[in-house]
Amino acid sequence: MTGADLKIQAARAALWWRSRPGPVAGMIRGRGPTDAPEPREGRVRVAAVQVRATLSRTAVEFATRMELLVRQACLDGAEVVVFPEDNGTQLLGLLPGLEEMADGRCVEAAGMAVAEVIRLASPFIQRAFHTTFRELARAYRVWIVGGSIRLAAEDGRLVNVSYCYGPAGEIAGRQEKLHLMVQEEEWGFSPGRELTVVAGPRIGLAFPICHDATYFETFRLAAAAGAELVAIQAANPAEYKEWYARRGIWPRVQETPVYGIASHLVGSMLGMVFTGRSAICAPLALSPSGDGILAEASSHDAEEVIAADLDLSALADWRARHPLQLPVEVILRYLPACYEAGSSRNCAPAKDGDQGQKQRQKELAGQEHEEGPPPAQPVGEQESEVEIEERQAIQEEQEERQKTEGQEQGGQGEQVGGLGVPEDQHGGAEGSPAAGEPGDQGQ
Amino acid sequence: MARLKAAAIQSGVDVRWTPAEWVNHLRWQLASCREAEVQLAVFPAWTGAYQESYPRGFPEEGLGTLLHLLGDLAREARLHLVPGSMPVRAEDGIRLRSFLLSPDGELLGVQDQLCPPPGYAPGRAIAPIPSALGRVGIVIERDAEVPEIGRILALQGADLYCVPAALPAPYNPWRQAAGMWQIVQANQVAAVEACLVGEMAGRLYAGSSRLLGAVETTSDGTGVIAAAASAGQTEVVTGTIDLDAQAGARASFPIFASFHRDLYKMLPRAYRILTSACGAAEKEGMPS
Repeated sequence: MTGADLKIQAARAALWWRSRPGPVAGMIRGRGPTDAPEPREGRVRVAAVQVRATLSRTAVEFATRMELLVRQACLDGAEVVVFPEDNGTQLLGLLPGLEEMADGRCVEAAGMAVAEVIRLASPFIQRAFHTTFRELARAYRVWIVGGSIRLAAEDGRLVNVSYCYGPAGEIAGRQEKLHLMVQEEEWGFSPGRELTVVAGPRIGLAFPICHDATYFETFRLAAAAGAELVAIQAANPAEYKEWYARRGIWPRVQETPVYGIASHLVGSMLGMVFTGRSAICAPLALSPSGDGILAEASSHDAEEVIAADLDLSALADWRARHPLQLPVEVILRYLPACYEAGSSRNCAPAKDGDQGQKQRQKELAGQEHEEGPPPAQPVGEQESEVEIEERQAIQEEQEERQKTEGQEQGGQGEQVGGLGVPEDQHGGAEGSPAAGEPGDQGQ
Repeated sequence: MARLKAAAIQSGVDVRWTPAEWVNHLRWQLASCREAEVQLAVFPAWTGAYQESYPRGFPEEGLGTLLHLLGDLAREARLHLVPGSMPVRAEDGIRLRSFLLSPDGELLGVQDQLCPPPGYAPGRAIAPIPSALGRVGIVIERDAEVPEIGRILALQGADLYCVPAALPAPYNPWRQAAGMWQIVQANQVAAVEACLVGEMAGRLYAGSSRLLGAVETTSDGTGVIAAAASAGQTEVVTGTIDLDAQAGARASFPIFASFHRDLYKMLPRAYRILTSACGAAEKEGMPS
């Protein structure tokens, strides 16, 4: 056995000892609901926890800090409590010597491979994390989105994953980060494959992670899977800038009418400085000030718990009175093919697009000087036979879909809800009929 | 073209204008653009709603003459011109149409509004228009509230959005930001957003015309390059869009590199659910 092997064995032993569930459970048991306000009909009170990043050397240390925050949220009447991205990463402090090695520097600069550290610590920090939040959810009879934790999954992938815990202490749902930052890919992380929606307290709850809020696609999928609340867990390792931050959940909630929570990690950890102002967002019309904000943290760098009531009746009423009006036919004709074409912003073959526009230009500019009747539609918009067939297929599929929708949604398995990509559907079984048809890309 | 000087013309319209009055209105606004040596001018939505075109729509077969006229205006002002949108009577109904004309007076392309207000026929095609300024995507009025439209144009290679806008009064800056500002940020494509102001056909409009860019490309980090001083007065907003900086922003924060294409294969299903039965049917299958 080499010296390195011995060090790893010693580290594992320390991790095992520091992550023992017994002391955590013992510390939390006996705590519980205090004089929290009673839930109100048609409303759900939610809390966003802005956590100041601190490496925890033991599971009890971590659980003690989390318990204080959950208690604070519950005293304010929260039924759903949301922690930030990388909340579980604070448990890397269980690893002996990590704090000293990484003090003032990032982990990589300290000569450690991120993937190695995570694989070593994964089972132990997962144990400490689950114990903490299962016990807290049970003790306080509250729904908790625990914030994300970086783990080696059972299939060996490194994932940035979050768990939702129900009030019986059960794991109600699991969500891997879907859109990874470039650095996460460089570290060896893999994106999640499906978006989960759990049936929370009278509310459908999705809980994607940080960069997922950059994409309207996440929220369209979440709403379609039944989400009325999308809780984003964030850890932004950059200087705080208001309008940079506003690119995230705030516009998403306006595009797809849902309530939104953003919980941020703040402060320094492992050589990185995190900033962010946690917020609870609503569609503009459902916010008293008309700005889409129900509650917002007072700073971008201090620990804080904020809470707000979500009026489910008002959201349902708003959705009923303002149904999404989307040009679905156009979207389905273009968008799938555009995604398939890649990230190089070239999904419309330049020649086709240019020719289409030029042809339209010629027709429109010269119509009065040409013989014969005007075209039935502007040139470039006439449907080809293929397009007509596709449109008819979409209509038929819509009708069929309406007949069988309940059955399909009921068949999503034990995961309470969600839209994902089953393994056998990779490759486009759900793609639009227009996907991959070059004729649909240009005019 | 690395830097582009553009103008968003914030103005009103009067549907009672005669053709001559309408042309004078356009010419007068474009004169100040020419003085400022602007390369691109964008008018608000409904700018083409005047006596001949509102409410029945300008006859499609007569567009040639109108486009020659607009071409003359672009040539006089020596700029690329997006003359707002106008009702056009097409075979399937009245469409709200916009155009891009070159400084030579040439028609470079057209775009119909895809999400028009009730009573108007939606366009069915979308593509950026190639020009000497780059590829220009035209996003008309409510289309700015549909993120998919901006996404499609960006993925088709748009370098710039031109946005003939019309926001119903009273003015709410957050509502405006939830539209084009966020589409600019989501796709890292700059925009020239020209807002209709005042009363048109019995409705009031208010908005702050703006030149927008990715937050990384603006010195104050707001994503606003230039903005009108008010949300209700006629005004020409000019500014410079830095397309090199835009490319830099895309490189430093490559949003499109993180697309989850496999997951997005579920979007067609999601759209059918969201648009067929907003609300109750969505939740079918959700356990209680």
